[in-house]
Amino acid sequence: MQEPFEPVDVVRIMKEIRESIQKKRERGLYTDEEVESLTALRLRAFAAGAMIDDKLLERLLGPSHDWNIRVDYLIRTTRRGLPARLLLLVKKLVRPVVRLYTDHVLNRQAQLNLYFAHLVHDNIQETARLELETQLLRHRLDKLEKAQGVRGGDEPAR
Amino acid sequence: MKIGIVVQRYGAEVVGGAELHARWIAQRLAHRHQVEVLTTCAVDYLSWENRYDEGPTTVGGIAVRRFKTSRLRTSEGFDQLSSKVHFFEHSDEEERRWIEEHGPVTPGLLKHLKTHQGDYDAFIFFSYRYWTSYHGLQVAPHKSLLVPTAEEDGAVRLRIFKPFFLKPAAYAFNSPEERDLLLRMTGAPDLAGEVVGVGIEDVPAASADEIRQRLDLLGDYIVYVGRIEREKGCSQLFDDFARFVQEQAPHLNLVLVGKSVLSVPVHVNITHLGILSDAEKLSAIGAARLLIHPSPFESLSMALLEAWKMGRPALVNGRCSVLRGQVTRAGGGLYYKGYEEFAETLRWLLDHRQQADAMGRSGRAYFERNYAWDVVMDKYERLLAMVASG
Repeated sequence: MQEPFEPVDVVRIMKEIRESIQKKRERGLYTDEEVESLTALRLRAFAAGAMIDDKLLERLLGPSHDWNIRVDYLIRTTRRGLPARLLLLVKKLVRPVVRLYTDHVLNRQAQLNLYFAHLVHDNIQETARLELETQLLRHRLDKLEKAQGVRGGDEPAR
Repeated sequence: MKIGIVVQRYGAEVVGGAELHARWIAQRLAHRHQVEVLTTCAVDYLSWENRYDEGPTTVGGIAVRRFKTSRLRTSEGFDQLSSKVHFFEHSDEEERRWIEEHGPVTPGLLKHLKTHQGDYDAFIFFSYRYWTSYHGLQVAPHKSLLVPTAEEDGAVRLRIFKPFFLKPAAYAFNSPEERDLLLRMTGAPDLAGEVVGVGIEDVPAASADEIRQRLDLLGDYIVYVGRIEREKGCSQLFDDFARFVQEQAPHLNLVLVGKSVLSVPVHVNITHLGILSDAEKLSAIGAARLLIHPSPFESLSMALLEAWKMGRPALVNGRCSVLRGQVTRAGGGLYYKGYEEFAETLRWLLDHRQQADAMGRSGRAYFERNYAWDVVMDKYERLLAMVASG
């Protein structure tokens, strides 16, 4: 026998919860979005200091992994005509032999690159979060001290 | 009607949502039809190593015909290629190789389908992404029903699947979101079929007090059910939960039920029970405050249905359109994106006990209306009639 259906308005409850989150943001409580924003700023700032290619940086900060090294490589030449075709053929014949020696090394390096990229990103993100938390706590402490009439080590006002 | 059910693994020892789904459907269809399961000899989906004997057998009263896989899946052959086709520019040939590397490559099964397709009135294929379904369905697509178990991940976007998704005579979708996903992937105005899903087998569940005592579960807990791995959002769950407990709920526990592929952190508030019997699993869910489901990729989620069967609310990953759609339709829980929402929604569910329980009852009513076995099997009968007559 079916139980009577008791509709619960999930959308309304989620709206209330999100409004509650928004109010906390307005009170200065740090948010995940602020942390991500600060992390992105920091990552760009470090990259500017390193003076790396802008296009590579965009790919590095993006969601895909296409910044990473690949074990495969493009077969191409700037030559034209018959010399180009011969050269491409030779390169294609040689490629499997080259890859016998390079695949495992490059694959390992690509994995390490991915790991360190995530490690760096996550560390900067955590640092940003702790910094915002510290700022917030300092802000609250200042407010409390002002409210109690305390000035840096002074006795509370009577 | 003689029905061939093609699934990549089959057996009581096999752990997996799609495989369990196939087994339950096979058992139910066998009440009215002649069912034969066509599957591999593999138990492990990571290697496809042959474990069972090849040939015809019976499992739980169901005729099963097993075929050997012809190659193992290796991380050397698969991981790099998978990364390439998912994240980098790649060729059609590399996508075809991905299907071969992904496996399970089972030439004997394909040969059987080609030779004996006339002996079957209809086929049901489970899980589009496996070699068995990708090649098998193309043998007799005009009498093939596909249960895609598609998720919004990289695999569904591969070019080779676009024409493939137009081949089945009909679909048994797991959710409206899965249907919408395949419509987007194909660009087709419509795909024949219905949203069906699966029921949950009835087993005698123990009372909350009894299961707490038996499994040594103290205090309030939220429960996770399923494979414990990174792809199911478990790493993020551990981080979010540890932070939540530290910040605001030192007495709340997280109980994990399932096989672990990922290391479970050593934490006083996290308990890993491993694999439980169906009865104990349902009982553990029934005694929990709620089911937590952090997975970003699902086509249905049997754990969510289990939670609603037991009248418990769920807190799900809002980035998964299927889970978000299900809890919204059912009124059976809340969803979250990011830690802030995780903390606020979990806090809300813990603080509003009566309303959370009402969500659990709402979920149960939704489950009974849409996933009771008679509802599910009526849909399968309609789809099979459509497919067999085509």
